[in-house]
Amino acid sequence: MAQPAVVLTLEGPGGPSPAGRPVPIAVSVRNAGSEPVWLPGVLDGSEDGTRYPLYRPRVLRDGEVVAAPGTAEDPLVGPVRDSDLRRLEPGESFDPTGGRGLSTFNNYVPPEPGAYVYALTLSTEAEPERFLGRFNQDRAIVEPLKRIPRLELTATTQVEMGPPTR
Amino acid sequence: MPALSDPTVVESSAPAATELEAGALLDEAPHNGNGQARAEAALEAPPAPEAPPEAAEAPPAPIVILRKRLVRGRYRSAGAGFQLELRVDVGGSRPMNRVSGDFFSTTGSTTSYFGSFVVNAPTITTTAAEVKIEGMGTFTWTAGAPFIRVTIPRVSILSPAAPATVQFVTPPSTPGASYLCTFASPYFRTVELEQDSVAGTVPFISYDTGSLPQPPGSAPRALSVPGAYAEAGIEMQVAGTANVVPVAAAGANATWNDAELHAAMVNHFSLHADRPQWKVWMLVATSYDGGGVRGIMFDYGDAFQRQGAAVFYDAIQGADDATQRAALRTYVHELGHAFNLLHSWQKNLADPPAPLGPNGGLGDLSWMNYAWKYQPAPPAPGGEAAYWSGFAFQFTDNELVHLRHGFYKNVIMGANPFGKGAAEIDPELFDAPVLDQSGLELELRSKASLGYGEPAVIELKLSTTDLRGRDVHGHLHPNDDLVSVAIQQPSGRTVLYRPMLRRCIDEERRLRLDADRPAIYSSAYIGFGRDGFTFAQPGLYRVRAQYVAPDGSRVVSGVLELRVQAPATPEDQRVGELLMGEQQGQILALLGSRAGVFDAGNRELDVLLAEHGEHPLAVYARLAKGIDAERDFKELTPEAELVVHGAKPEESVALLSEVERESAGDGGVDNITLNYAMRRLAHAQARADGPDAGAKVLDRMVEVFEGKQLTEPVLRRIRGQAEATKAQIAAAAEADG
Repeated sequence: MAQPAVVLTLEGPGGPSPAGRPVPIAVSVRNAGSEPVWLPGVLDGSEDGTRYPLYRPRVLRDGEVVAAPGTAEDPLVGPVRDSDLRRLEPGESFDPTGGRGLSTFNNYVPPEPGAYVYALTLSTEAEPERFLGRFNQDRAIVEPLKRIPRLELTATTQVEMGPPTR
Repeated sequence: MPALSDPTVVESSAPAATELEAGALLDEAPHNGNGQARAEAALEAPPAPEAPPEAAEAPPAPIVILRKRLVRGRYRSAGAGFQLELRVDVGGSRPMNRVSGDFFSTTGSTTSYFGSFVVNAPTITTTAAEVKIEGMGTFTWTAGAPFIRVTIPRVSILSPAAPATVQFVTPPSTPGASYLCTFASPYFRTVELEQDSVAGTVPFISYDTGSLPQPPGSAPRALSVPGAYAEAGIEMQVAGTANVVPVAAAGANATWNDAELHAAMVNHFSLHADRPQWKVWMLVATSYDGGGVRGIMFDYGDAFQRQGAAVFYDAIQGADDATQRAALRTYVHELGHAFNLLHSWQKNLADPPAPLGPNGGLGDLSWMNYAWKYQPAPPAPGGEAAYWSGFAFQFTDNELVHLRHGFYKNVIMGANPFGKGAAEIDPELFDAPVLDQSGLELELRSKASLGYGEPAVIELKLSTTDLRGRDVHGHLHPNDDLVSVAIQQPSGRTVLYRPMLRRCIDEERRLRLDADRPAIYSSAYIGFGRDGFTFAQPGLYRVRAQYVAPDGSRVVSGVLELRVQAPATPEDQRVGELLMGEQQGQILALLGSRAGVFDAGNRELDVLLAEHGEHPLAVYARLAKGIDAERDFKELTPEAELVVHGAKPEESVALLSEVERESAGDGGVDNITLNYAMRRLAHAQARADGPDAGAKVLDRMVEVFEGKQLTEPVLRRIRGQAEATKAQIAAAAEADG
């Protein structure tokens, strides 16, 4: 069976943004193949790496990581449910953050003008068990989780920061 | 059982404790306010002095205004029957303007939790003389008198705290039960905290909140973990013995996983018990398997959850202010999970769901949020710096309501699972007593795992823990009214086992358990009852039983875990289906029946024996049919004709001898069932081949059990049973001539 063609995209503002403010970054996952694909969006713990799928963001300046998710206080992540799985028809895309964005991008404030690279890695390379929550988890979800293709994708976008505005 | 009565209503023989003004309770007249500001102002400010008399001639004496004592805190009623623990949350620091309570009932020597209530939006009326809080309560049971009025006299701070009078009312104005509750503590709840540490780690002590910038209004103070909870109204008493746990307990890799942490808790938590109790354990561990986390409430997978948490020193250590501040956060956060608090953004995932705070909960300035995830509604800045600049080292209001007023089982450690609400059965049934002085112990045993369709049989053992001995009744079978069995199914649903037939207890059957006879035993098939098959699905079941002693004590067993295996082969599947028909279930529960209504079920058991006779579960079909064949069976037909189906001793001998053969080792049926089956076999053998042949079976029975390495008192009892059965056989032979 051919590897499903899934495209992960980050999109920043069209032009330079003022330093001193968070930058809105849109996240999109698109099914570029010819068969439907099942994918979960960002779950509790996806961003800090305590559960799959991983959606691991980071911001780089001159190749150095200047923003990344903090350490999880604990691994007590909530349940994954049927409604968390999205069936993407060929050509269909969705925002895996449900419009909320990622905390790391939402909260990072570039301090000074210059070029910043926003990066996001999506990974589903794990057994279904590693997608499960630690409480109130209905294990009937394990079968649907098996439909998720194993993949690891990284997307980046460069954002130019201009002088701060008053 | 006491749970059948209602602590909010007056028992018919008891008079109402308080006179009520007719119509005064639920009228439509405006009340005196209900808001937080009003309550605080009313309780913290001294009452206004009365105006001096107009015609006073002498200069007025100086008015001494004594501040009034706060009425908030915990109160408790005394006496027999129901006791009420009341929490009054008006006035003082961050009042939630609620009253709540838990009822406990005492029967015999045991005290058990009954149920909880809360008044979420009371009317609070404060006068110079008293504080009155009243409103409709929300209960964990259907209360007969659901309106609650709490009245507390106001006294000066120099006087002892006054008691609270709690009056329950059936709307509109019928008085229900009344309780006088004396003041117990300014804290709403008290928890014992035992903290152990792994060798080489350094437990956190306290953090000075003024060391780094903090929000206006948050006073600088040295804040410890108990101090943080004290500010929430929860007393955390350091208790138990602080142990140093060897790092070897973490296994070869020296990092900790949940199972290792749980084992360390069981071994080192000196206050640990498998029952609900206000006790929690914190381990300062090294690091978690795989790293990446600062702590965990690791006790979320068994029947008594939320009793232990850990912090990982390798991730949180450091002496600088920011690190110490973060360490305090981690300790308080993980213990918050032990109180069944979820992360700020997870409240909607609780069962039942709870409301989220601002911006999907990410905007909560709470111990239960993550600093780096903090994200108030835009355009306010989020992230770690914003969190710390706004965090006043406290829980949110909703979290305070849970900690102070959450229903008992939702909060106390060892009760409801992490993230779960109430069970579906009577709230008292699956709880161990909070106090047990009965001197008795009830144990359950069974096979650890059952095949698909295998009849679920449990052994019950009642023993004394009192060296002086205890009088008991011998009704230990769930078919008797004095033993109940609760079963938690793999879905989490808890059901009460209801036997097909209840035995009416009209005999005394008193026994004394002592050194000569330390225990009595019974065996019960609980796989099928009035509600059908109880263990029909593969998965993990949890079983607990309760024995009501002659003095009314509720003796509750530990939880027995019993796993039903999925069928491994097509034959397993087929045999399971043959055993799990409705009629087969009834036949097994009755240990055989030749009634015409069970013809179809008996045919299915015949198919099982004919086509799958070598399957291990065929022993149950032989058992039911063998015992049935040993006795005459009287059937009253639909035409009201009495038909006697005669015993078939040869058939019974053939079937029960196979049961004996299959069960003499580790397989087959349980020991108590085998004991019964061999005594029936002896009767059948005697009828077929004479009394001597029956006696030989009984001698063999003694040998079989001597080979099973049972205790001497049990073997003594079995030998006695063998001799008694021989006597019965001899008497029967003599009677037959």
